[in-house]
Amino acid sequence: MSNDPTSGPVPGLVPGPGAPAVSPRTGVPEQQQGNDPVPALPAPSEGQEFAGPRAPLVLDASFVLAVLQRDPRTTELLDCLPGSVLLSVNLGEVFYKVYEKSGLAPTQVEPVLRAFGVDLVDLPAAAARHFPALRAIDRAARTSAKAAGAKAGNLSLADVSVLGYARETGLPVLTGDRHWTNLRDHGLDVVVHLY
Amino acid sequence: MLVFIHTWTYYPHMTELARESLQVDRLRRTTIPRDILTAAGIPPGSVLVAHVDERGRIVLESPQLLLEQLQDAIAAGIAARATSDATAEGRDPAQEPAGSMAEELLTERAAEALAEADDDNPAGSPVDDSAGGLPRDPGGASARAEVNGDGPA
Repeated sequence: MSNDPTSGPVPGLVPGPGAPAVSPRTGVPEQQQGNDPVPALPAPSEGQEFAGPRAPLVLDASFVLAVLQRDPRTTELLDCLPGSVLLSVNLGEVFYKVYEKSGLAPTQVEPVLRAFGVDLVDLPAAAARHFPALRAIDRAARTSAKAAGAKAGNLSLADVSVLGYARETGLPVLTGDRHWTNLRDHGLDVVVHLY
Repeated sequence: MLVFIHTWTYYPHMTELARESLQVDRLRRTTIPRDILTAAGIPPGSVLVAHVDERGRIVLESPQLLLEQLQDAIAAGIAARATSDATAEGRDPAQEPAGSMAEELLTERAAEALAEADDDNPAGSPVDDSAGGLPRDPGGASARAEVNGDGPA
């Protein structure tokens, strides 16, 4: 599925332009302005139904690494693993970071991700075609931030891979990278969930 | 022998909770008796991971247990490596911060992206995006209008 502006968003799949970052715990768009930090989210009260993101999602390597390191922010998000997508470039990031920090080999990590039903996917050419536009959006965000005297992040190749795949498929992403939420003001029409 | 390891309660000091015979048919298929699954605390619809251990036993485990084992192994590996590094460099291992792999990755990505950030196609230059339908005037008002479907006809 492409994001042809003339066809409009597909309800329930492709978010509209400037789609807000959504709280993983409440499912409610976060009230973030410009480069202001995203406020800390209150923990759900006992008995409250979880209304966060649901699979399928595109998982960023940062989320998977946070899961593997028992980041408490990911505890309620483990149900997002089955049926979600992890791109091979992100899988490689998980592999090298786990090996670098703990010495565990990829063969010890990959079976667990597969057991959880994570869909390990190579980046299709259709997703790669979004790279130039994503980099342009990133540049625009950086230029805007500089003009405002603010510090802006940058998209790496792994970043644009995730976002390109998300744009192509219409799936939301789940990441710890807050820079991605700033890009919506510059035309990024991907739903970004922060863990 | 089939061994069910569904929670830490049963492993490694397993107490036998149920025992039944089962048949492997000509196509090497078998059905695990309901009583066995019930005794192991495995509800309908569960996903299990099977492997054969060094004693030739078929072990069925929940993915959750596998994840917990991996998380423990990673935590132990990180602690061991941090201790080794600190000792080698004359620091107190007890004072070494654990460090977040995710945060490290994001920091490395940002550095990589900064190095890659090109100025040969500065903001405002046209971007051929025939595949993605993204703004040709990135960040500009016309770009947002185009993406919104409000652009000029």
